Amino acid sequence: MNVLIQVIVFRLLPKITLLKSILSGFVAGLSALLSVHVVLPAPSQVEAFGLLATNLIIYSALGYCYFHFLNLGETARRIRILRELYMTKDGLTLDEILEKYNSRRMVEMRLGRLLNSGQVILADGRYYIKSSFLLTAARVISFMKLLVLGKCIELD
Amino acid sequence: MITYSAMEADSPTLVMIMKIANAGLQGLEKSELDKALTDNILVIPRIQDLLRDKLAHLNNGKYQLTPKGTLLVRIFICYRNLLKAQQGG
Repeated sequence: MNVLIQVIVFRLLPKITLLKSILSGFVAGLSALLSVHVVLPAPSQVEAFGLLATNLIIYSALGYCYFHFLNLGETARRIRILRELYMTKDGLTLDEILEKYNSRRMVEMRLGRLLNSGQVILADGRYYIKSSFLLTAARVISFMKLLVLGKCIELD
Repeated sequence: MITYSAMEADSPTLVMIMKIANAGLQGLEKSELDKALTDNILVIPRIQDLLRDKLAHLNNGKYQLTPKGTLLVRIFICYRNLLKAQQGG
């Protein structure tokens, strides 16, 4: 249900962002899951709670994996470079890869996505933070990186 | 595992967000992001990753896909075609 709704919403609503389509799929799938629990009650309340908790954990984990699968296709540099190589018969030299996919273009595309999703705003040629959503995600990832790898996100 | 890969290779989007946030009320121009995020930081290490993970190989100065790389990229191409999504990256 989650995947089906996400695909339909993304295909039918051209202006919707990928993230919003993923959220709509997640909510639809969650509604379906809760409906099944209502329609098919468990023998006891304890069992019903256990089943619901287990299913919610499994559903959330699968939803998280699906989000990352879609995100890889949308933003991953390695996947994009693989795509560029796939499009050619004989492969590409480093210069040819950089002609098709380079840092300036990458920054441009990502700024476009950040503007479209309302994470940043552009005023007088300068970018400012508008929403704290991705900033919080960046700080969480940075903290986890420090915790696990002993390094911070490299800003310079 | 998925989260680990996001930590291992810094996401350019998250780096950009943090740079813009650090600029505060002054804001940040695109040229400042271009200056900080170069091909040497964003692209070339990822090409090296493809070689290391045997998703691509270097043949006479040209990077070519291995069968493993072809299989992987086909999955993403098929799914993005299903979504009617543009090329990402």
